[in-house]
Amino acid sequence: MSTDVARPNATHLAAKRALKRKEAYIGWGFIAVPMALLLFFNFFVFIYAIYISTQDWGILGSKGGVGVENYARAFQDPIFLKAVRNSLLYAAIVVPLQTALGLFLALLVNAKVRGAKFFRATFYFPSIASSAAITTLFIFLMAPDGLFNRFLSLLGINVENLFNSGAWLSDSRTALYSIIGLNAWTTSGTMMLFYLANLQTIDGSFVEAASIDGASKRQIFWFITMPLLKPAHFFVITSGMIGAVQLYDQAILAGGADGSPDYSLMTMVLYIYNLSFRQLQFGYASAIGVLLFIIIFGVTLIQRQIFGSRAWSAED
Amino acid sequence: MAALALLVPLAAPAHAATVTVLSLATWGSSPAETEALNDAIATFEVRNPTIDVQQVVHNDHNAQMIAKFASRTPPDVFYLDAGVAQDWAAQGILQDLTSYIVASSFATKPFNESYLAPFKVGSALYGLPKDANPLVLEGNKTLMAKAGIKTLPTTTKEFDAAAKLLLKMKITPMCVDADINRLGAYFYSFGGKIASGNKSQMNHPGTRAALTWALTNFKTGAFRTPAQLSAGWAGEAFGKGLCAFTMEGAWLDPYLRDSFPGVYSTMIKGQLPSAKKGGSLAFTAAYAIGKDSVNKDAAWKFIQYMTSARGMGVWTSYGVAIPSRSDVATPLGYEVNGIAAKAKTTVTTPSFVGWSNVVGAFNNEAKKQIQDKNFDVRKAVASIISKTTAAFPK
Repeated sequence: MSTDVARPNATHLAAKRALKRKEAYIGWGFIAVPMALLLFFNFFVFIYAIYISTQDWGILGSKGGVGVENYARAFQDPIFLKAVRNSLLYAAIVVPLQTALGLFLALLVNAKVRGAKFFRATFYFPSIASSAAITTLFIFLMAPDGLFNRFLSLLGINVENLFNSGAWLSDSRTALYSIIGLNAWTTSGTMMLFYLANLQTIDGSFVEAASIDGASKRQIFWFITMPLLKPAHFFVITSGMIGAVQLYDQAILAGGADGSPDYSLMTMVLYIYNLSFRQLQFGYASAIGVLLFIIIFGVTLIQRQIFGSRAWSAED
Repeated sequence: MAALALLVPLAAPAHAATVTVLSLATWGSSPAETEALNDAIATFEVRNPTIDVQQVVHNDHNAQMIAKFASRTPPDVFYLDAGVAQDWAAQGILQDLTSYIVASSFATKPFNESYLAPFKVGSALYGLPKDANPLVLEGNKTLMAKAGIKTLPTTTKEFDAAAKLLLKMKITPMCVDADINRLGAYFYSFGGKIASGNKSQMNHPGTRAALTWALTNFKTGAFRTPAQLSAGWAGEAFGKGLCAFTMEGAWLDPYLRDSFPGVYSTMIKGQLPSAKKGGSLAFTAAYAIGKDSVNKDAAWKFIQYMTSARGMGVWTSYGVAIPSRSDVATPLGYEVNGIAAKAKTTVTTPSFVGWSNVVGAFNNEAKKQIQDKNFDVRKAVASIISKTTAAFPK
């Protein structure tokens, strides 16, 4: 009797196991191709870049290993150090600016006002325009005889007497800040969309309950809306930071491959381009690429720590 | 008939010669330059019906060429800029043309030696210069007349006097970028130089004197950069009538003719103002073959024709560039450029491994120094010399 009971169980288990195995094979089959591509284009390429960074690498390949020499050189290279400083300074200013502007615009267009859809589209337009086209336009706007200086003249400011004679993009003291202004404007539309998506998921009952409890609009914003926007804060600041540290196209268009004048527009990615395609030092360029990865990874981890802490928790 | 029918298929392959498709990579150029190149290629193809030249225009020529070299698929022939020739040769990606030159008894003697120099490494020659383009002084007669100036300044002293008159009339005398590839011309006329081989000559007294003169002009407003005049490059500022003089090569002429015909009709040209002696900088580019290029023999035939007196004659007859051979006539209207190209005091820009670093260091520092209207010329000169010298190969 017991064997009669055990037999169907064993068969059933074996069939179940076979089915599981089959399912597993099918599952692996489905993910095999994307996994292989992911491993090749992300993991293998990254490991290969690390390998190249330890070589004296020319156009046709390695001319010999140099160990960590490329890394040691980077820390004594004044242009690289300036590129790091520029990239971090740019990120430190542009990320809060674009985040604040994006949040402000999202709150504006989220309000139930007439023409909200029109303003939403208008604010988003700069984000979908080609960065090359918009930078070229910006160069004209900021030229000594451009629209910006004419506007200043209308306000009674004598542009010629300014410390940079109105040459905003060709003066090393104002070039980076001008690009910061440009990018804060062009990227704020995208940030607005992220905030808007999060704002529209906030349950109205939270705000309603707070209102009934006598909270002012300011209190509702700071103690209800802001904490509930935590996922958007994390996404906007992290993606903004990653994008900011990788500044390239606006820098090369406004300052050329040398990030001129005085390397004021030299960024880490522009320097990688410069080292690779002008100086043919691919090993050194790879080392800087790896250092850039470490910086981005480190900053992202710090951000995760901050946003993951209970101090920012919406449940508090 | 039957015998004839049998013969036809046998005879056909003998008549149908194989056509070699030759890839030619160039950088983008003006419509006038494109027309000149197309004409020169057409004359080559008529003489070589078995070679079909297919031109590939690169937007970012050097970067795109490097990608092709790295994948070991370089085009058969390509433009090689003198400024990068030594860097590329050191990478072992260029074909030495010496064996082709010897095998076909191609004479390199008619080439001005200074235009061959950037492409030479020891006894190897990695390119033949397709043309030359020296800097000359261009003047806007209308603006000059407003300040009572009838002729172009021939010396730096005459320039200073003319600049004073123009500044009085609130006309910017010269638009020139703070670029070693422009200001460097004066290093030579003041008796200095940029480099000897790959060694810095920035500390040479002549170089220092030239820099002092140029920076003083930036301070007084006698020189202004294109950016200061809201222009993309000096030619544009000159075309818009924002300055009385500029110093460019033959490429300026077709640009002005097409974009600013009014200014073009009143333009006069002369040699750059001399100081201790005359002097100018010239730019050149060569035709070259890659070590991994496929159709090397056809590529050499093309180079041989394009750099021969006949081929270069067709190419330069359009006036976009000046011949790099002494046996090719200078095109009409470009006599001044031609004289500069042949002058012994005209030198090509330096070419050594790492030259682009030197250019970057000079230009960055020079632009930084002149951005403040009240800069100290002596300190600025010292800083430019020090930063540029540091960028030379150790």
